[in-house]
Amino acid sequence: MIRVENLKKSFRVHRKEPGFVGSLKGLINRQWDEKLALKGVNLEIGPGEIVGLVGANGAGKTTLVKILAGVVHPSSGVAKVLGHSPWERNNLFRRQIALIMGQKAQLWWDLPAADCFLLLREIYRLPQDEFRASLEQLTSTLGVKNQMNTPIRRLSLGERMKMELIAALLHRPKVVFLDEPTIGLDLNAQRAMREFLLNYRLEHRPAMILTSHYMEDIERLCERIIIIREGEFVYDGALAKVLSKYAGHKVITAKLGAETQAPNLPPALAEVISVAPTEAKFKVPRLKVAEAATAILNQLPVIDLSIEEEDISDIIAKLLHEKTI
Amino acid sequence: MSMFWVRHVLILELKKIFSYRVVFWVQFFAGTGCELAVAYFVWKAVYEVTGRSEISGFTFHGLVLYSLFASFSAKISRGTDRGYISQEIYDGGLTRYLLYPLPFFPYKYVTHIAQQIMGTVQLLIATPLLLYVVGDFGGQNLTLGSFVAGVLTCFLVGYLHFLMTSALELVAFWQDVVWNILVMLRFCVGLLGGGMIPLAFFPSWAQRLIQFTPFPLLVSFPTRTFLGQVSLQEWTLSLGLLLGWSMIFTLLVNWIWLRGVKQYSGVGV
Amino acid sequence: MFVLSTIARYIRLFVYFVAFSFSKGFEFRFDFYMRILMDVLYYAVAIGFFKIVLMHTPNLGGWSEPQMMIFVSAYCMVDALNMTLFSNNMWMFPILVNRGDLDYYLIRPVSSLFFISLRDFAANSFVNLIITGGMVTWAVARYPEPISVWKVSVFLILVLNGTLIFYCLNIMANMLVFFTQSAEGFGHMVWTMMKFGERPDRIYTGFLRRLVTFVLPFALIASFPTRLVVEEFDWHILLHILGVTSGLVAVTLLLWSRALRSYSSASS
Repeated sequence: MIRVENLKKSFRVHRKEPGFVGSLKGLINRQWDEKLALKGVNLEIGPGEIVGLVGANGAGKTTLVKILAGVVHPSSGVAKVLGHSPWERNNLFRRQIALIMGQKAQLWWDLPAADCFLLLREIYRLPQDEFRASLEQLTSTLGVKNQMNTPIRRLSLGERMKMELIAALLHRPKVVFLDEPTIGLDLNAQRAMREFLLNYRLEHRPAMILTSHYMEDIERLCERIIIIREGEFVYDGALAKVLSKYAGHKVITAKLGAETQAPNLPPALAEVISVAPTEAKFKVPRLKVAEAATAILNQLPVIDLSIEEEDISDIIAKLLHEKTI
Repeated sequence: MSMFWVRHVLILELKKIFSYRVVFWVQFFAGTGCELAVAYFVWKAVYEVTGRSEISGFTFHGLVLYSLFASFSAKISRGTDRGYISQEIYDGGLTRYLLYPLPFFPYKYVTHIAQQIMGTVQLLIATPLLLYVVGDFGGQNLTLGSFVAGVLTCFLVGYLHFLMTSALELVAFWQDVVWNILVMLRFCVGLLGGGMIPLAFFPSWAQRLIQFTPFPLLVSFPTRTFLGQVSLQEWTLSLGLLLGWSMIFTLLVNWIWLRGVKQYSGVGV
Repeated sequence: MFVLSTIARYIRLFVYFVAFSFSKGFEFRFDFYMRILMDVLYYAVAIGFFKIVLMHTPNLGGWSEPQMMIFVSAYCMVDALNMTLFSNNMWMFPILVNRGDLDYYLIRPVSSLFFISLRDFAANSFVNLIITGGMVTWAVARYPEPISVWKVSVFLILVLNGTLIFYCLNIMANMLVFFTQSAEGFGHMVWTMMKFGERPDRIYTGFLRRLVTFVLPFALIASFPTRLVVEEFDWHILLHILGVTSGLVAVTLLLWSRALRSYSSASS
């Protein structure tokens, strides 16, 4: 469905100096800075897949999504979405995709939601019955039937986001691009959106590409993640594998029955993360879990012991900073 | 209440205004150029067709000079009518002024003065340019003295203009959209103030009626001062009239402000 | 066939724009009345200006008072059409671009230019269309000689054409926002320059004349159409208008695709 070969994108940004003299200079002699957003990436995504793009700000996530949606022209390379080159903006192509950008509203703030949807129906040339069915399903799932006739600008942020979701999915797109969709939402709204997207995906199986800073988004929604660092892919594969391959450590939490001093354990076996009167946490290499657990049980008055994976965001942060993978 | 902030605010505003980029200056030259070019061609056609050398006391070149000074008098006395006050009422930005230990209207007036200074600078640039293009003074009594008097008059008149725009902007306490009425004021000042055509050209009944409005004070009065058409006696009389109108509008603005602030919610959009 | 169905589609979309605008129900009532008042004042000032000037000369640019009134009604109607159809959208344009909201328009299977230019129909200004229609009727009715129906029809079509010309100039000025990253765009410069279109074109000579009849054809918006009505019908004038308009539209569309290209290359 989506195929990317050696895609490169560089931006020329001109250096603006402030004030009148600066802008005068800018007229005569423009200084350009070259910014390499994508350095030649390759990618293949099949129908029904949901891929998470993870990386620092400016790593190239949004650029990639915008190229695939047809908003930005690449500098070189091949990208095909549903058989089309997105930036040619073929109408056939545009009728099958959707773009959701967090914090950026696509609906017209002065119109009520119902009118916005009618406009979109006309734009996407949806047959009357398909439109009605789609709208019915989406509005009842999200519970916004009572707000259909309120102007968008009068809705709360949460309600507005729901309307944005409906607007994006009305035409049953085959590919959905989501750029930081949960940013700025409170925890409940974030959770609600994730649940909705998950269920939508189960039912309609579009291909989805999602960028997000929130690990919960990635963990909850994506089976496959791509880690981008400075315009290059450093990892592309199943999320679960990231843990097993790169999570070198596990965390052992021991609940203690009585106050003790720090245990005498070699740091190579178990590195102390934190010690409190009733709880001690250790970072333990994967292969030495059993050995470490035994040592801890022997040395400390343990009431309860639990063994957990390292936090995924720590793993990814580590990956992002690694010199080589 | 100490006045130390006046100098500070003024310098800050001036810095801000004078750091505007090239776009601003292009717009200035283009805008002024268009206005004057149109006036030039209109009057040129009129004088050619009638074959007269003088109409209602103005020669062709004199009229072109009138257009220049009228345009700038309006601009300088207006300061800015971008509707900042109404915008701040609308989006709740007014709140911070209510919290500052700064009196609101004096503060706004100081920023108005800063805009007036910019307008004066632009006039200083435009005048020699136009005089060069036109070639002579068109029979007008334009001297260094009348120029300075003109600038002074603009600043004095600017206070009234500021009051009038503020009064209209305060309507924003009750209505969302206020730019319409600001534009209407501009039209009135433009035509009835003598901004488009000297009032001397108007039929006498119209001239008599217009004298009852404050509009001529805003444009025609400073413009004619620039051109040296105003005697000291007339100047002082007009100033008295200006004082009268200013007092009326000061009371009006105060009254509207007090009522408006009472029901200001500070919420914005 | 495809062309017809596309045109039908865009007409349907436009009908939606208009319908939604009216169903907003003149929400800002004060704005509604003030817009009418403001424009009526604008028309009154225009009429007043020329009446005063014509007190001091038998004609201006070759036109007497009744002829001038037809001219004034023409450019007032262009103004009303422009305020109703385009002004809200043109005002929003630089904001759209600078906020990056243009992205959403680019992914829709519909002409983004059409959408951006016409989406917000100003129902609040609709009454002004009626008023200026009345002005045209008044100016034609009081004209000392009868004006044939077909001349009036041509006149009205050319007034529509004049609106198109103004729109092209307006949006091309706005497109500079793609290339200059200016905050407010140059759109309102075109409004300032419209002054050239609000005076009879014969007063312009030399270089300026060539400018306003060809490159920035403000003279073709209301003045040339008026000439066709009040003077001897001259086919050259008509052809001139149509020719320059076609060229202008072509340049506008070309510039739009360039502007999008630039936006697409820079968007980040």
